[in-house]
Amino acid sequence: MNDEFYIGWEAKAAPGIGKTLRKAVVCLLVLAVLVPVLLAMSQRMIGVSVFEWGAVKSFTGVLRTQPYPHLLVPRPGTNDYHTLQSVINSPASASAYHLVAPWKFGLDRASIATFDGKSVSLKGTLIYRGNQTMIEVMPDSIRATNTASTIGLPSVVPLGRQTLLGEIVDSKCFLGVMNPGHLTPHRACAIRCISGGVPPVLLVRQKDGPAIYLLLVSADGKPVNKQVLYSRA
Amino acid sequence: MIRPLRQRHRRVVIVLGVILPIAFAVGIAARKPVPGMTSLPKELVASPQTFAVTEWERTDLFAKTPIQVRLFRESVGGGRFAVEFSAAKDFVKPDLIVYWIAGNPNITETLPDNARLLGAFNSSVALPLSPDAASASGVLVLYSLADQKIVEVSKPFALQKP
Repeated sequence: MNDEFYIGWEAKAAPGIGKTLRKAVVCLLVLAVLVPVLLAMSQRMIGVSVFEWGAVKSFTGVLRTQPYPHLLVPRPGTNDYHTLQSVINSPASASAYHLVAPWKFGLDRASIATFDGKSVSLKGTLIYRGNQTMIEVMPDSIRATNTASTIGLPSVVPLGRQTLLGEIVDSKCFLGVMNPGHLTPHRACAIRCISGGVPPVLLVRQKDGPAIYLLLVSADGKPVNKQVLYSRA
Repeated sequence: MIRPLRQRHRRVVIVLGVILPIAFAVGIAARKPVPGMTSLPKELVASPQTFAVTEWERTDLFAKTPIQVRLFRESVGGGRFAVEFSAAKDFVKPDLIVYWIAGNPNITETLPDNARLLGAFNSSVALPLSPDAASASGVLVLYSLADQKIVEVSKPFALQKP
C-alpha cells in the first residue's frame, strides 16, 4: 500500500507524488500549446476586406438613388465613356460603388433625390472586398458638377425565377467595416445596420467557386430592408 | 473529514475532465453549417468559357506582386486570346481594373490614351483581348479606379511567338 500523502506546506513532495505531478504538468503544458494551435488552424479564415478608416478621398461619377444609392464611375480607356448615357448602357464601361452614411445607416435617398442621375462629386471613405466597392459618404459632401445631365435608368435583364441558398449580410460591415461581418458573431450588428438602411446583400457561397453578391430588391426594384428584417429563415 | 472531501474532489475532477472536452467537441460539431450551394443556376453564371487552349502560364510578369497570368486561346493556333489572373488572397485593391497597352510604353502615374479596357481584375474570369493585340507585344496594367492610380505594370510580352 502506498502511504505517501501530499502535504502542501512541505518543501518537497513525496517521491511518487512528485514524479506523477511532473509528468502531468508536462503533458498539460504540451496540450495547452497544441490544442489552441490545432483549433486555430481548423477555423475558417475571415476573409480580406478593407475599411480605409480616416482616409477621406474625393470621387466623381453619376449618382443613382435606385434601388439603393450608388455612384457610377466611368472607367477610362473605353472609346465612348465621355458621354454619360454610354456609362449607363454599358456595364463594362463604368464601376458601381455603393454609397452609405457613417455609422449604421444607409444614405437617405430622399435627401439626395435632387442629384439622381446627375454627375456629382463627393467625399468619403473607401470600403472594399473582392471586386465590390463601397463609399461611406461624408455628410453634405455631395456636389453637382453637371446639373443638366439627368439620364434614365439602365435596362433590366430578367433572369427568370431562381432558388438560391445563401446568407443575408449587411453590405457595409461585410465589405470591410467589420471583420468578420457575417454569420452568427455578426448577426445583431447586421440587424441594426439593415434596419438603418444599409443595403442587404445575399451572399451565395459556392463549393468550388467564388462567392457572389446579390443586392436584394423587390420585384419592382425598391429597397427591401424591412422585408428582410421580418423574414425568417 | 478530509479524506471524503479529497475523494469527492477527485471524482468531480475526473467527471469534469471527461464531460467538458466532450461537451466542447459536441458544441463545435453541432454548429449550423455555413449556407452554400454546389453550383449556381446557369442563368447566373458568366458566359461559358470559350477559351479552351492554355497557351502559357507565367508568374514573372509582375515584379512587385506575385500574380500568376494564364494566356488562353479559343482554339489551337487560332482565335482570340484571353488572360486570366491568380493572386494571393491578401492582394486586395479597390476596384482593380486590367488594361492592355500595345508596345513598350513608359507608364508613370496616369493611363495613356491608348489603354484598352479588358475588365475587372477577377481571379475566376478570363478577360478577352482585342484581336489587334495578337499581332504586337504589349503590357498589362493593373489600375485602381477608386484610388485613381496604377498599381502594377507587367513586363512587355508578345501573345504569339515570333
